[in-house]
Amino acid sequence: MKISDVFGDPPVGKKSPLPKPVSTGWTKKFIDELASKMAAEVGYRSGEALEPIVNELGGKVFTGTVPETGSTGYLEVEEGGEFLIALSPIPGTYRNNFTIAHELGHYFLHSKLGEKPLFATRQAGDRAEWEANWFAAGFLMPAEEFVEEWKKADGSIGRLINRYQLSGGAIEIRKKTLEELGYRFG
Amino acid sequence: MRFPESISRKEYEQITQRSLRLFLSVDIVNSTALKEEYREKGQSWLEIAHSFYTKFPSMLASALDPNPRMFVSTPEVNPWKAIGDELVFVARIEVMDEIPRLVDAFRSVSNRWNRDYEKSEVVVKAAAWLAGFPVANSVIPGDAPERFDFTGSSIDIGFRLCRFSSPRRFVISAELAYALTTLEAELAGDLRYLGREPMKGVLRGRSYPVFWIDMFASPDLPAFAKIELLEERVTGASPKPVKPAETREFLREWIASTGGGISLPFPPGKADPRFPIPENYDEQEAAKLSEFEREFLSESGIESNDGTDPDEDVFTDFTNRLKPPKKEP
Repeated sequence: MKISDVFGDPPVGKKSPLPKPVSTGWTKKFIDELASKMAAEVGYRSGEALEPIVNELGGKVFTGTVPETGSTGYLEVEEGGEFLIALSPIPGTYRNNFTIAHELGHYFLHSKLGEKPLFATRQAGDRAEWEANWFAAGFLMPAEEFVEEWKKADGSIGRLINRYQLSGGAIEIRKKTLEELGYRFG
Repeated sequence: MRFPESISRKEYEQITQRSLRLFLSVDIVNSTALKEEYREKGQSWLEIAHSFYTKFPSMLASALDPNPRMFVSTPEVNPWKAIGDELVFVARIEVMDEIPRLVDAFRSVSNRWNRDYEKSEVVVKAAAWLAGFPVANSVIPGDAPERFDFTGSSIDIGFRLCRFSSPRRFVISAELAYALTTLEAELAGDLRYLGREPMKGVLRGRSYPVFWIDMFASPDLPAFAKIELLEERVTGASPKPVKPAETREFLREWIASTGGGISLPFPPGKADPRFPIPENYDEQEAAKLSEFEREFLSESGIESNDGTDPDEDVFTDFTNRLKPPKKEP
């Protein structure tokens, strides 16, 4: 099946014979830094739309109804490297931006930029899912820049939500993670 | 007030626990019109509202005070929500036999309130429903740490059922009527049937069987109830009790026909052969837990320094892969 087929008419309760992502086993810090470097490499600037980046990499973003995408969406990387990120409309733009970056995490880390076909459904509790989350955070909110933005926002989560186009939860977790990694916020 | 997007592992474990809860609602009848009347007469509605919010919970606590003669065990009944002139209480059920005792106590307390306040025309009506967690309904993080909220189809239905209640009709949900009849509780003898009623927006618009407990089939009634019963003796027209065994059979089949929209209640801990765990429950629960984990859990058990960094230069490798393929000459 080609992505164009899927894109035109996504099947209900999507299932796929493609393999699930297999974790790299790399540390959180390494994945975080790698993601920030990759963001710079593909020319992504935080707060901007992610879809052009996905398209540039040979992928498509599809927002369908829940029966089409499942409750949380999925990523499908086909033989040949084309990929589709299907999103549920329910979480809204902020959380979906994080999800797109999460799926890019699978695309980079677990598919090796399209080399390995896979199908990921955001099944929780698996290390590969956490790795994709770490990648997403590093890709969307590079550490040094985030610390500066946090200081400038002077405690206003609302300002950071506007700046990064991400949910308050994602921003708070980013701060906590960076504190754990040794960054200081003033 | 802010609802959290993510929670700790400890809170996650609390909210995903298997549990059964009984919700008990009490509502002031005609409160909008009454408020207007009070205002016109220059009387204080605030005083009524204040008494309702403070006295009703005290009356309930007093009625539920552990009494070895009455109760095998008494679960805690806590206020969950105050919505305008409605109070909703919630109790975690461990043993199914606690249910009829709690419902009966709630009926007595509502009748007592009505006895005390009928002269002021501030009478209440009650409703109750059961909700099983975490499959059909969910506990969700509330507006403060260690505070939780509830959502799900049984709860939506419960709130919709309230509109069928009156000072006489203590409306209960199908799962609760099923539990009372299965327990062969004395209270099941006071069950009446209103009939099928349309329920907008729940169970795909399927009509819902509305059962109620007769508030007046209880001792120590308010005067208006006694008068109504006397009048019934004149007319001979009183609401008929249902047949408990037939009611149970009907509800078991009806609940099954909802295709999992709602399911038969069972106790979360110690197994009770009268209330077996539905088939496929473990599978549904695993799927639900995974959903919770994805939605709410901020961090897994993986520490930042867990893992091994790669020997090869991943950055260079990835960067090379990013380079556009050379064009065919």
